[in-house]
Amino acid sequence: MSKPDTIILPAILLANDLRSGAVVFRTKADGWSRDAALALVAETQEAAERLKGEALAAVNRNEVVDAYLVDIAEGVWPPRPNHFRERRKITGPSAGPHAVLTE
Amino acid sequence: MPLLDATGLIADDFRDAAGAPEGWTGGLLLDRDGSFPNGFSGRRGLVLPGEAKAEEAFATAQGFDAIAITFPVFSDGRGFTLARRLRRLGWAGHLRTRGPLLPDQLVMALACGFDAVEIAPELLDRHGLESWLAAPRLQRHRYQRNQADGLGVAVAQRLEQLS
Amino acid sequence: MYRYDEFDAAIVADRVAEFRAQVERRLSGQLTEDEFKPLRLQNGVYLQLHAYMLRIAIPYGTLSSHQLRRLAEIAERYDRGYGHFTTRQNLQFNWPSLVDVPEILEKLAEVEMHCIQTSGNCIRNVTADHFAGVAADEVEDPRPTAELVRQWSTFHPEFAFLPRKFKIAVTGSPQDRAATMVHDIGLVIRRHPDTGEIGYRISVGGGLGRTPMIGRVIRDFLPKRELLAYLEAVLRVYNAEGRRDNKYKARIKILVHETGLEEFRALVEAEYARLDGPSVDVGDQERARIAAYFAPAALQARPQAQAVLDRAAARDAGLAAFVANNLFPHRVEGHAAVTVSLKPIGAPPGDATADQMRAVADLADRYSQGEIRVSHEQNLILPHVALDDVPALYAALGKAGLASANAGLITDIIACPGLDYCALATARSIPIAQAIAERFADPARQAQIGAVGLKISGCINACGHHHVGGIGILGLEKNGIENYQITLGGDPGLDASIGERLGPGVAAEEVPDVVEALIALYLTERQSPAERFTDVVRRKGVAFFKPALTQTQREPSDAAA
Repeated sequence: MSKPDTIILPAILLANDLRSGAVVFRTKADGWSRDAALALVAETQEAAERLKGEALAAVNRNEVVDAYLVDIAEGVWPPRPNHFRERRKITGPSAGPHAVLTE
Repeated sequence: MPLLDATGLIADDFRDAAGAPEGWTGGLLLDRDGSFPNGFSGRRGLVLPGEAKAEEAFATAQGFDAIAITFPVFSDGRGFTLARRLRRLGWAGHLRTRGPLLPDQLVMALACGFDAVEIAPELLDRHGLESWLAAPRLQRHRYQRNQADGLGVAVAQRLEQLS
Repeated sequence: MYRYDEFDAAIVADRVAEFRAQVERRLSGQLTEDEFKPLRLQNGVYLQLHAYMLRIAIPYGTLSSHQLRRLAEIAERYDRGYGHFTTRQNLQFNWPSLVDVPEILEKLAEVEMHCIQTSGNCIRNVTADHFAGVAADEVEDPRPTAELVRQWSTFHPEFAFLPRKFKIAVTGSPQDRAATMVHDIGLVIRRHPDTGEIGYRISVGGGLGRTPMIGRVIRDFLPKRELLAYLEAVLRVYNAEGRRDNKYKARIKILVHETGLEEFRALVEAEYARLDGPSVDVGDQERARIAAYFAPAALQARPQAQAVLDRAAARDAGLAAFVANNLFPHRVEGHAAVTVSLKPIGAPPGDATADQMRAVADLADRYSQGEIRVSHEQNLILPHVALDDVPALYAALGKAGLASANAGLITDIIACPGLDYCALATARSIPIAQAIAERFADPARQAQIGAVGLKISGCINACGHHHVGGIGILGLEKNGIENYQITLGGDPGLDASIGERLGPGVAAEEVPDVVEALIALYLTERQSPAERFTDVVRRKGVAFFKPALTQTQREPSDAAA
């Protein structure tokens, strides 16, 4: 069996709530929250693999959809994804009536 | 394998040729790798992939009683076109779907000329028979006529269904 | 416009009940997300970056005021008070919850609307010229054709699981305002050169996205009554032969390209010869029934109206600009189709608030026979306005922030939602549109520049139609930053062309400077204002415009794109 892909760390788990579609974070308390400050951070490969497993389980329990790991910057809180697309995902649109201009 | 038509579950008197019980007197369905047992005198069926060429398939199926068209995934709609082409060529025998079609696809399969759909047991478990039985109720009206009348915008059907 | 009879209403009601059951089965887990996804897509429910998105069908871009008011209510009750009009004449809501969608569908069904087949690998909303029934050069109103195709394609049991999406557009005028040449099937209504009989020129395999292609004419003249059977033949060949191994090679344009036009045409004609046309086609009676709904608006010629409008415009520079840009001549004297621009400077292109929707609905009742159109250029149109009503209409639009006099000008930008909303996007598009519009806000400057056709897509899927923009902008990513590629010389009309790449991409903040430089080059080179930007690109070639990139580079340009 081949070695699994190395996950970039540290990482959080993002998803969309099945019922509302809202962006949610996997929390330290084994749940989901819209508040990024409550996000569980995986700092080792094992922790990240565990988080991936939790993602799959939550999808199968029909709680969330489109769950995936997102790598974040070190030493920044609330979590700041490294990629601009994921930053945009957690801050909201930069244009339109409810625009959030910052990243 | 449960078999369903517009009325609900029906008895299935076909088995796959590979692994049919000994002495089986019903029909046998043969896929491309298979062969009928020596001396088999029951009804014969053919299993075809959705991408099979209709004319070749029709020629091969001469003398057969049944055709099963395989859908590898529910989103591969080629089997619906193959069914319509076979019917147009004159296939009058039994025609069934095989593969993971959803209950939501039952009505469209019947409209394309299938007589029945096979349901994979694991799908039956998860969706529940009720989902298949409910399907015709949820899709009573359509613009197009059914295969028997030729699919097309249904003036006649509009008038029939309104009354 | 078309009104549902009991039959149409029953079909939509069936679908609402079916989707309600499907949502329940999804929430209970009977349907997995993989199984639910195509089912929800066929009801217009996408999962986007921040939320679900609901795409509502506006068949051939025609709306009643009643329907527009309902859309406003839905925006307020189930969303965040606004909606986005798209390049396929549909409306998108960006924030509905899945559990609310069945109720939204019910509210839509009450006003004869739905979200059927606005997504998924099926036949999508049939789009048409937004000046249908207005343009004097129209051979025939394309909307009865579009309505007929809509009915034929709705829940077509054979074509619900195609290799990929399928888009059809119709024009009734030789001025193709429906971009038929970049659709999977394009229909041009025309008269037979000898008999004068009305029929269709049929093109196949146009499309934008990763591999943009102009459609190929497969039938020069098809008699009107044969349309549905012929479409069935095309779709059947596509369903059977279209590639299913690679999502990016699955459109019919790839099939036509890989098969070759002659061979592809032969396949379609062979299928057409074999199928039983009369069982698919409708009779004259049904065609007449549908056409009756699109009878010309009961308008009287108003020979004095132009002079009244001219006098008012002479006194009001703002009105004069509005009249110069936003009016389209109507076949009935003394009237015009008025474009309500949804491109105010600095706002997201194509968006309207609930209040604005209601304002347009009220003005449609007052001034336009209760009818509104949605153009694929993301503007609204009041199609039947008396010219002497225009001053009052303009004043009322002004109060609602809807009187931008920029229809067809450089700030009338087409832009997809981009990375601000869309899960497929690679870069943002709306802020680029806003920045460019702000740079060119001066009305006098816009008037001088004329039509450019500036179109922005936030990813390679090209929903902003950048390939057919005079200036096209494609948002990608480079080195972890948004990067914008510019193409020039595209055109969406019957003389369609795909834009050519100018050079390496530029950063977001450089885009307005590059556009300014391009416009400067155009203004110095054009032979007259009648020579549009795209005309100059065709005459001089893209190389002529390269200085626009090098002049604005703040750093030496990279070797490779």
